[in-house]
Amino acid sequence: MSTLLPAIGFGLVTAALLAIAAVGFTLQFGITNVLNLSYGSVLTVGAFIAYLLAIRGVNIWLALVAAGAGGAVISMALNRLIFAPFARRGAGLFGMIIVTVSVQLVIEYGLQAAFGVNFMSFPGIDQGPTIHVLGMVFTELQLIIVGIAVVAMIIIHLILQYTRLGMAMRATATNPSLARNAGVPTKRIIDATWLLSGALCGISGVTLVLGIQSFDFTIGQKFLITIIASAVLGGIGQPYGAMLGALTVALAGSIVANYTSSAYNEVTAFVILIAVLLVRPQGILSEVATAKEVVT
Amino acid sequence: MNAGFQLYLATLVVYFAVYAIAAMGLSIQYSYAGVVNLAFIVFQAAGAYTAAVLTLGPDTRIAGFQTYILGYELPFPIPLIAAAAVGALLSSVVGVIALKKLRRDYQAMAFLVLSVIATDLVTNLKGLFNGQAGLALIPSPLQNELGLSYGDYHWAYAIYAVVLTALVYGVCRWLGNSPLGVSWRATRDNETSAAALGKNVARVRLSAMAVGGALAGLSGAVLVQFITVWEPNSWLFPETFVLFTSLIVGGLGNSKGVLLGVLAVPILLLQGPSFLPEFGRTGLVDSLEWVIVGLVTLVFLWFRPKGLLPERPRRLDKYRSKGLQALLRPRLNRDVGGPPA
Amino acid sequence: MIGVSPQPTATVGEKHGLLRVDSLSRSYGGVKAVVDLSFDVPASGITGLIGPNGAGKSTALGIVAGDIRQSSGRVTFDGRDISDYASHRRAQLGLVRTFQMSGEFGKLTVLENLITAVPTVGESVSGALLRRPAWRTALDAVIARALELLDRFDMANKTDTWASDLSGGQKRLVEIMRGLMASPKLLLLDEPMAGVNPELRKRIETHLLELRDDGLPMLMIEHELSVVERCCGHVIVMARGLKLAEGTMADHRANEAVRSAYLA
Repeated sequence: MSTLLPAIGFGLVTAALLAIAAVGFTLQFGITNVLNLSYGSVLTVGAFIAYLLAIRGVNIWLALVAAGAGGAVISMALNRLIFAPFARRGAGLFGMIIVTVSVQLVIEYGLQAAFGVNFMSFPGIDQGPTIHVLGMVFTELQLIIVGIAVVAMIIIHLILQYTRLGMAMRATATNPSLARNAGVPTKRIIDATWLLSGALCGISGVTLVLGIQSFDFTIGQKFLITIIASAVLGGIGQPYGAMLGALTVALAGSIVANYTSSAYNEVTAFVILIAVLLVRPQGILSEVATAKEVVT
Repeated sequence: MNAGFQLYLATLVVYFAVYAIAAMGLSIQYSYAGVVNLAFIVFQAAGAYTAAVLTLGPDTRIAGFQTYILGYELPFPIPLIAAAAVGALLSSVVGVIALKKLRRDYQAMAFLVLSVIATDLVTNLKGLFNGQAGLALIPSPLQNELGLSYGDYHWAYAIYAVVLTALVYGVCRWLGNSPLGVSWRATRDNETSAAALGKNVARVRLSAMAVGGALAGLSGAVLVQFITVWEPNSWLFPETFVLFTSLIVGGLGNSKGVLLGVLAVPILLLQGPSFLPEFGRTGLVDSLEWVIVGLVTLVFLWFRPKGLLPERPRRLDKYRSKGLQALLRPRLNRDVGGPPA
Repeated sequence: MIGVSPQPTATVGEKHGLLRVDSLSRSYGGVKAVVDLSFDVPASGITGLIGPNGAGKSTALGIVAGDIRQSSGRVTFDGRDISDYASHRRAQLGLVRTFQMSGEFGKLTVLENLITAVPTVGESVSGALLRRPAWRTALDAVIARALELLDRFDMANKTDTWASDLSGGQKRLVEIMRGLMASPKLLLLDEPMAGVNPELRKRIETHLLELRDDGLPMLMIEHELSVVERCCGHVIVMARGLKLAEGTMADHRANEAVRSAYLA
C-alpha cells in the first residue's frame, strides 16, 4: 500500500499530459476519419520547437505557446498539402494509413538527419519543491503539468459547448454528410479540426518532455500507441471519452507497473487497446465506429 | 574483387531472397486475405526464433550465456519446415480473430499494437528467447558436413537461398493460377457473391493468411541461419513498412511485381547507399534512407499506386492444359475477336 | 386458385413446391420488412415475385438465399429445412442467386468469373498443391462448359476481359451465366433486367425463356409487368411485407385487392 499512492499520483500526472494529446487525436480522427499515424511526429516537432526556443533563453510559457502554434500550423499544412489530396484521389482507409506513416518517417528521420540522434533536454527547468496532496507526492513541476492539462481541457470544453465552431465540430463528427447538407461549412471545420488537434499535440509534446526531462526524435512514435489507446478506449470522436480513457490507461499502467515492473506500464496500455478493439471498438462513449469515408 | 566485397555480395543475395519470400507472403495475406497485417514482421520473427531454438543445443550447455526454450539441436531441414509451420499456425490463429468485421484502419491499428506487444513480451520474458539481448551463436545448416571455407560457405548459402526463392516463386504462381487462386481473388473482389456461389469465405481467407504466414516464417528461418544472431531490434515495425513499400512500388497481385519491388526498395534503395562514400556524421545516411523510403512511398502512391507491374487479366491460356488446347483448336480463333457483344 | 395454368402450381398441403417458405418474418428495429410470408415455388417454370416498392421482395429473396436471417419462419428447399443454413451451404445445395447490382468479380476475367462458380478439388491449399492432375482435368471440363456458355450468350470475345471493364448489361449477362455454371436446381434472380438497355433486355428475356424450356426453375423479382406476363406462370404478389396473392397473372388481374394495391 505504501507504494500504491505514489503510483496513483504518478499515474495522474501521466494522465494529464496523455489527455491533452488524446483529445487532439480523437477530435481529428473522429471528424476526418483519418487514422493519423504521423500524430506522434507533430508531438516531436512541438517539443523540438519549444526546445529550440528554450535554449535561446525564451520563457518556457512562450515556448509552450509557440509549440502549440507550430503544431497547429504543421497539422493543417499536412492535411491541406498531403492527406486531403490523397484522400480525394481515392486512397481509402488503409491507403491513408500508409500515407501517414510515410509522413511520419519523413518528419522524424528528417529531423534526425538534420539534427542528429542525441538526446536533448530543456535547460534550466527544475522540479521545484515537493508538495503533498492526499498522501501522494508531487513536485511543483508535475502539478504545473497537471494544471496545463486542466486549463487545456477547460478551453476545449468551452469551445465545444459554447461556440458555433464547437457545435459544428460535434455535428460533423457524428454525421459528416448530414452536416454538409445542413449547411455546415465543412471545409472550415476540417481546417479548424487540424489546427486544434495540432495545437493540442504540440502542447502535449512540451508537457511530456517537461515530465521526462530528456528526449530524442523518436519520442512521438513511442508515445503514439498509448495516445491511441486512450482515445479508442474513450470512443473515437468523444473528447470527454478521451479524457476518461487517458485517466484509465495511465492509472492502470501505473498501478500494474507498481506491482510488477516498470516495463509493464506501456504494455498495459497496449493490452487495453487490443481488448477494446476486440470487444467494443466504439469505446466507452461512442456509438459510431462504422463511418467509411475519409472527410476532406 | 576482394574477399570482403564478395562476402558482402553473397549477403546481399541472401537478403534479397529473404525479403522476396517475405514479400510474397505479405502479398498473399494482404491481397487475398484482405488483412492489413502491420505486424507481419512478427511472423517472420516467430519463424526465426523457431529455427533458432530448434538448431541450438540446450541453453545449459554454456552456462548463463543465454536462456531460451527448447534447444533440440535438430538437423537441417527440420527447423526450416518447423519455422514455416509456426508461421502458418500463428497466422491462422491471429487470422481467426482478425478476420472479424473491423473496419480496415481499426484492424491495422490492432495489428500495429500486436506487433509492439509481441516485442515487449519477448523483451521482458527473458527465459523465452533471451530477452533484449537476443540469441547468438545460432548454427548454420550443414556447416560441418560440407566443410567449406568461410567465403565458400556464404556463397553456397546464397545459392541455396536463391533456389528456395525460385521454389517459393513457382509455388506462388501455381497457387495463383489454381482454383484456389481464383477463389482468393473472387473473395477479395466480392465477398457476398463468393458466398452466394458456395465458397466458405472465412476458410478461403484463412488459407491465404496461413500460406502468407508460412512464407513469413520460412523467410525468418533462412535469415537467422545466415546471420546467426536474432534479437528484438531485428524485427521492429519499420521492417513491415519496408515490405509494404516494396509491394506498392513493385505492384500487388502478381509475383513478378513483388520481386521487382523487393529489388527496388530493400536492396537498391536501402543497401545502395553502402556503396556511396561515407559522408556526414554517423547515422546520417541511415536517417536519410528512411526519409527516402517515406518519400518514395508517397511518390508511388500518388503517381503509380498500382506499382511498376500492376495486376493484369490472366488469359485463358493460363488455365487450360495441353489436352484442352487440342480439343479447342477450332475455337482458338473465335475467343480472340469474335462477334461483338 | 381458380383457372387452369400450363405450369404446375403447388397447392397448399398437397404437393409441395421445390422451394417453400412458411410464415417468414423479418423486422429491422420497428420496421416490419416481411410479415408472416408463405409461398411455394414450383419445380419448373419461372415464378415471378412482384409488388410495389418497399413490399419486401428483396428481403424475402435475401432470406431465401441465406444473406438475411429471418426473425421467424422456415425455409424448405428440395424437401430439406435450410432455415439455419449459411448462404454458401445453400448454394452448394443448388439454391443459387444472382445480384441486382455489382455482383461480378471485378478484377477477374469473364472466364474466371464463370470458373469460380464450379467447386473443384483445387480450392484448398493441399488440393491445389498435391492434386494438380485431378483439378487440371476437372478444370478443362469446366472451361469447356464456360466457353460454350459464352458462345451461347455471344460474349466469347470478352473471355479474357476483366469484369469491371464491361458495360452494365454485359455484367448482368455474366451474372446470369455465372449462376448457370453453378448447376443450380433453382435460380434466384433479383431484377435481372433493371437498368439495362432495351435491346439487351430482349436478349436476357430470350435467354431466360430458353433456360426455362431447358427445365431450369427460377424465382424472379421483376418490376416490368409485361415481362412477367410473358415469362412467368406462377406469380406471387407482395405488398408492405405481406403476401397479397399467389397464382397466375390472369388470376391477379381479376383480383380486386391486387388491382387496387398494385396493378393499374
